Amino acid sequence: MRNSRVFFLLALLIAVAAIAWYISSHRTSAGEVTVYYSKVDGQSEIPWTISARAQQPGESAAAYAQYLALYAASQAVAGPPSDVTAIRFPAGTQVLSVTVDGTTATVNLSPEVHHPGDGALNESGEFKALIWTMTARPGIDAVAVRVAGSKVATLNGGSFELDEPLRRSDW
Amino acid sequence: MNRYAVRIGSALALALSFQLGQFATASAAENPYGYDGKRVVFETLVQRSGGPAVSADDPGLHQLVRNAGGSVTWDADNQYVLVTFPGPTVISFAIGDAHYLIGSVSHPAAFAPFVRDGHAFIPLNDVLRALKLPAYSTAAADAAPATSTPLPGPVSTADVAPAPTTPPFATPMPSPQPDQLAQVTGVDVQVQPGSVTIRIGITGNGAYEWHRLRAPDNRWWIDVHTARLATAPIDQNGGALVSAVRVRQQPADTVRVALSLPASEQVDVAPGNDGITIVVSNRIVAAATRGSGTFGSIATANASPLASPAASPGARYVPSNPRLIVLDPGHGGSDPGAVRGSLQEKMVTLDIAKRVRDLLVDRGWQVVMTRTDDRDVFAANDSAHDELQARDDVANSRGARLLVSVHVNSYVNSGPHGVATYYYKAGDLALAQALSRRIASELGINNNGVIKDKLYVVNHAVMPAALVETAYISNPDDFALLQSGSWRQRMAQAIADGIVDFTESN
Repeated sequence: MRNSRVFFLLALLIAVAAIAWYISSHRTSAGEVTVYYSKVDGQSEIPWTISARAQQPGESAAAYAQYLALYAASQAVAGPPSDVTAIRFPAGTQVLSVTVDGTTATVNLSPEVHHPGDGALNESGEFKALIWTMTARPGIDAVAVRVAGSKVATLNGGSFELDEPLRRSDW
Repeated sequence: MNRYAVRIGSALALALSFQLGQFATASAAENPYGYDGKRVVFETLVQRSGGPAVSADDPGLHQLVRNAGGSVTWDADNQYVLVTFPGPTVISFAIGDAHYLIGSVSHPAAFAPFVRDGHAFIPLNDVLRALKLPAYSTAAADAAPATSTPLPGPVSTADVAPAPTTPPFATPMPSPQPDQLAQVTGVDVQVQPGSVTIRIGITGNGAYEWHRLRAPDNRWWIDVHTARLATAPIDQNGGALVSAVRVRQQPADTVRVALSLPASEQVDVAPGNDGITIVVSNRIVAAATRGSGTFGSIATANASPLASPAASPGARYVPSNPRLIVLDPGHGGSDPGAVRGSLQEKMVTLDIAKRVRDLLVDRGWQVVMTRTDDRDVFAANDSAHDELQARDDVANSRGARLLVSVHVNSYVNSGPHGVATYYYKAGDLALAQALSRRIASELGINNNGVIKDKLYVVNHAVMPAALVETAYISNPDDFALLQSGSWRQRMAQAIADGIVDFTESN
């Protein structure tokens, strides 16, 4: 009688552990990304931690990493809340796509990023925010920029060089 | 057999040119130069293809210049010759540069000044032209009667800008005649699997040189000297290996063939009887990055597997024209830059750069500007790449000491204000710091300091380069400063002082 009770408790313990393992291994965890914005002094960045959606059941790790990369780039280009002073991409600029090949992410921006008349402060600050944000992603150390799918030397009328992958060491 | 024939031909040609040179030297020394009833004997004349060359320490040259109230200085350390007059007016020759300056105005020289046995030789007729004296020729001098041309004083900058269309002397300058120039007749591009063959058709004999621009720039220039482009400018596509083949007439009787390669490929250049053949292939071998030779009936070639100093990012830059400063007024022509009301960035940058130029010229520097009026440097409505690279090309092709680009900053609101000096390469930092120090000390404007930034013009200049964003057009206080001529003069003074500071310590 006593042995059967011990056996029952042991079986119950094993069952609880199995259920806990199953739940923990299939639970969706909320994600987050770190996004950088450039201060108007042109010299320093503001890091922000932003919540991202959780990995969905059945979603591969690679697909989820791809989503986080696109999400981070989009947040960097969108800029911080309006009450925060920071260098911002021209209004209307969107991230059309992000692909990752090895350690280089390619960020494809919409044509609104062309904004003739912007000075070095604007252009440098915009891309510094984007490159800092993308290289904060695990495994990414360089960012190639495309505009409407094309490689460009600089933006229209601008002078910041975009024809080669950018790294943090470029600043 | 053919190779030996070429070498023998080259040797004969060299021997013949040496003999002709000796004859010309002797003949010139025996023929005095006459003007205003006076006679001058140049003791060191040697004949070049573009005309007579005279040593900067030739007693006859010193006598001639002294009679006009000037003096001649040869600075061996900095490789330049100055002919200075009270005023001051400075005629400046730099060794290896086929242009010379009178004041701030650049003129094509009959040939690039050179050094032989420690003596600097300059184009005699360019000096005489600047003095508004008749050109020297052995035939004219042999006739002995001195001309009645009065010896004028030195010419002022205003006297020579723009250059007169009719020379003020009767004897024509001994420049190569059109029928003596080789003719570039066309380009044939043939694309094969894994390679592209480009044949440059040339009639006549001449010399060429080629090199790759500084990495990561993957363009290659093949310069055909003493040649004329007999066709319209050529633009062709060379398939996957060569994205563009461009052929243009350059000043000083040079035709440039420019190849743009999307990736690193092997480039072979070989001369022949009827031109030059360039083969671009995707073989992976240790390839040459520069070379030179002659084409036509005297075809020879050599190539160097060693990268040029400019092609090695870590190598210290050695300017071929250490007295030459290149100033780049930002924007221009179809690109106004930042605009506020009627004030356009392109006009402010041009004004400041001109003021810097005048200040440097007064101190004896050679200065070339990427533009001196309101225009695009490459072409109207061109790509940013072509436009910015054209500005770098001005400095890179001349082997300038340094490049300074002048801009006006702008922001989406009126908050940011003040000046900032940008650099990118390690070799740029000292220049940017020198500029920033002077700007900070000489102007009361907010100084945002020295900032590293990957700006195209700075990155692709092979020499030390910096970009000065002088003030914010978007800020009301800065806007008022930018409209002030006296403030622009002070900014120009600070930039000029910073440049000189840099040259004195580097």
